[in-house]
Amino acid sequence: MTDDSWSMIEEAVFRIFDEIAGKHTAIAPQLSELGWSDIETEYPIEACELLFRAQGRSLAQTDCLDRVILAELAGALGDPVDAVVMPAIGNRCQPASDAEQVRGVVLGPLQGRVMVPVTGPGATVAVGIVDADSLHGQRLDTFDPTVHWTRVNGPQHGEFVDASEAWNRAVAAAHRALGTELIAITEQILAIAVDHAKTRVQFGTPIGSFQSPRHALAEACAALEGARALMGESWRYGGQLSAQVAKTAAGRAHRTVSDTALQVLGAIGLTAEHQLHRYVRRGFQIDSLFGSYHELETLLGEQLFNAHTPGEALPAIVACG
Amino acid sequence: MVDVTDAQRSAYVSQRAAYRQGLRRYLADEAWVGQARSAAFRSSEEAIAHDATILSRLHDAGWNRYGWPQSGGGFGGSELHRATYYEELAAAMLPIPAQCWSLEVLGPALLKFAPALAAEYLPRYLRGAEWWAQGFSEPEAGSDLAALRTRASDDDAGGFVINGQKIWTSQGPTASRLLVLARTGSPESRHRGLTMFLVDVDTPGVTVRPIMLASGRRELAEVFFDDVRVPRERIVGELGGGWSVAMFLMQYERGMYGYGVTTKLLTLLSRLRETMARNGSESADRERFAHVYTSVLSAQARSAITVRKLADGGTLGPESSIDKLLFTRAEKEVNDLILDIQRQQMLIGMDDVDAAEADTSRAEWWYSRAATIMGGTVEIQRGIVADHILGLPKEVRAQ
Repeated sequence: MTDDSWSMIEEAVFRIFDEIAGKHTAIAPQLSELGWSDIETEYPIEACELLFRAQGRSLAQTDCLDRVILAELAGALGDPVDAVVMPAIGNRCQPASDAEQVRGVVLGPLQGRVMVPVTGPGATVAVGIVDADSLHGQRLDTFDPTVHWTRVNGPQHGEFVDASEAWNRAVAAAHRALGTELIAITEQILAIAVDHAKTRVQFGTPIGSFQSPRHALAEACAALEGARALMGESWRYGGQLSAQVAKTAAGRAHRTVSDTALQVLGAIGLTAEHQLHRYVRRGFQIDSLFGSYHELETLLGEQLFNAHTPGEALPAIVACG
Repeated sequence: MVDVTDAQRSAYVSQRAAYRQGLRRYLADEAWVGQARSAAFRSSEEAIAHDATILSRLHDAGWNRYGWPQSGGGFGGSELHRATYYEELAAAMLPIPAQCWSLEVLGPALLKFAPALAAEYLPRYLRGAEWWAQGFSEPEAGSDLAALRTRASDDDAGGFVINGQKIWTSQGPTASRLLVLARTGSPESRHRGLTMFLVDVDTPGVTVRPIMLASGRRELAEVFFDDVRVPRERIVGELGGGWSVAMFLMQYERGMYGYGVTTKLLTLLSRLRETMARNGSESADRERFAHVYTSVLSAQARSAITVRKLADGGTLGPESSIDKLLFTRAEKEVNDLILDIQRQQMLIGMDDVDAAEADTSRAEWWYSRAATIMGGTVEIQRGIVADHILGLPKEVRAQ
């Protein structure tokens, strides 16, 4: 599916995200102007993937992730809500709220009605709706200061409905969305570094003609492409474990490529005036949602060994056809 | 063994899911599979002879013939069948028969550039009755392959006489035929003056000298050619067209071979998981395991894209160097993990571990060091990515 109409859609979406970059935006009005619901119906996977690609390259902040999660939980929720209380940072992909207390993070300012996922006994998850007015919100002091995230807590009230399976699907959808955003951010970082290597002249020649930056950039490119391929498999075939490992690989790739770029750019890459830090910072921030690569590797280690039956091969995540 | 009917066979060719299910059932039911899973030998000659018996079983049952054309002894189907075959070997935690590595690299080139030779010899390859090796590298032509000097001169009787030396030939000690890249043009002709030949190892004038690796295994060989007479029919491709045969072959060395490597790594990791679960493990080791598993999956996902492209009849460009960077790194990471987790066995042996098994693990670790050297070093691959994917300026070379 790469016809002309799709590339027009792509351009339009990129334009929207470029325009809203800088301020947390509820994206519904802009998308509906594009006729998004028809586009989503026709290209369900590509449309979702595109939003997060656009978000990563523009560094925009929107409620796209809330929308993706809510789409999976729509059946469990009767009423419309504005935002999702995401798992607290450091709590992997497990809701930090319980039957008594709401705890977690809202992307953007805290307002309207929020959906609260709640961890119950035996790793079940239920969801309820809470009015933002009854919660306490405090803007987080983030590594990327341009990010507007709000720590929320407060008492629970209202009804919960069990949504364990839907929540697992929502986590997988979130992993794919966030991983895609990370890959788009990482792509920008690599492009900045390559551009620098082509233009920065030392010893009378662009530094991109010296072997060590060339090789470092080639390895960075491979790390990015490996993560992109794994994410592509996950979009193609779905599955929770595949989404989880794809997000892990994306987070790793962001670290690897950032390290290379920060070295290749030299001191200028560490400055506030250069744009590199914006992508490096944002990547760290996005990686931390629904489990950082480090947390997810720990989780995967537990999953692979706790659920192991002797004589059984590792799960097949990739299949050729 | 249940016989497969013609109707089933054609269903396996047209429906890969059915082929997968059939192969999976077969591997689950066969008695030899359990033994083959843990077979270990003290030498590469014994190991490869054992693998030949596995190939012959798989061939008798037909399973390794899908994905190869009928003209080469197969049943038809595409590269995707072969990928499915490797995936299912991994799902059964079975090692890949060693002959498959050279088959995946050399078979497609022969089918395309020398169909008559393929029709004659490839069926024997698929049965495990013979296998071949690649004679490209020379003592003075490693990464700089186009500098090779082995010469094939016209014998004025319609054939050629080959003189020279090849080195680092994988499976060279046991292979019965060699795909030899030799110079038919002027000494300065670089890649333009090369021709590919299929040479029988038992031709007078061919001497194979096994090279023992640090592991004690004779995995590689050097091959000497002294007035070796080769008939014209043994040219693969065009006279002077050896480089394009080599480049075509490289696509499979990056694509199918690479995909096979990633499935082999999954088998190694599955087996390591068994050991770790049995003996208990530290959480740091389980985390590292998860990290390495993710690297393997990334490499596999990347190679899957490449295999699909090959199956669609596409041509691989420089982007396949990215695959090679990923799967060679993953291969080393997996073998390093095995070494670190099974330190006891690797370094001082263990009473309850068969000596052949310990020797095999050590040999695999040593051979995995070659992953980033053979078939174009990682340095060459990085250079290709830097030039052709990233568009960086040409490298400044030492004068």
